[in-house]
Amino acid sequence: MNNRLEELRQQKGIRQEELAAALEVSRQTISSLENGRYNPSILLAFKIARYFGRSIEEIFIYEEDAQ
Amino acid sequence: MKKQRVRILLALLGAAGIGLLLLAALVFTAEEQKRLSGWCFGLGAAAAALGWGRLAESFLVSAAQTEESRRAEEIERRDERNIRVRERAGYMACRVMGLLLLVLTVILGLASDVTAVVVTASLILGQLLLVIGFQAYYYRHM
Repeated sequence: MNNRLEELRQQKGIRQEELAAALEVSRQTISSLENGRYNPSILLAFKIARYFGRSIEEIFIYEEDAQ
Repeated sequence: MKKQRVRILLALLGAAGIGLLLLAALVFTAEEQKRLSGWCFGLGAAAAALGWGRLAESFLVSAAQTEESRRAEEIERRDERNIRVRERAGYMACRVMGLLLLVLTVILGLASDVTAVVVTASLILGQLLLVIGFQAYYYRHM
């Protein structure tokens, strides 16, 4: 699943480690999320959306929409 | 408190291991008890190593750990991606081991070692039953 996680993180000016600490996940999880290799659980998706103050759909792009 | 309980269990495991080793060395010495002695040596060594080793580790690690490293370790342990990785790795290991056990059973069958065939076939059956059991459990609870 494509996402704007990296873009939003860089806009906020924080490193992967800082985002990982804030979300209470490992840095590798953040890296895998940004690369699209890993899709978050609904719980983690909500946490990410709340952290950036956006909706889930603004951050994670469902493949049908991307096409 | 939980840590204390775990340490007590590890100490008991280590002590049980030592007990089994002593049994094997001092009690099961007769020729007819050779197999039993072997089992006791094997299990005793494993239990002693596991028990005392993990007990020592629990003291060393807790002395060296800071609050931050403990938190980081907790995050790594509860991280959802790490959990999925562990689950998938366990599943794949189980599949490969099942195949290896099957191959081993066939090889032992060709070598006409009936006892070994029964043991490995039982392991395969045990694994299958565990898979069915866990699947049934998780279907109901997830």
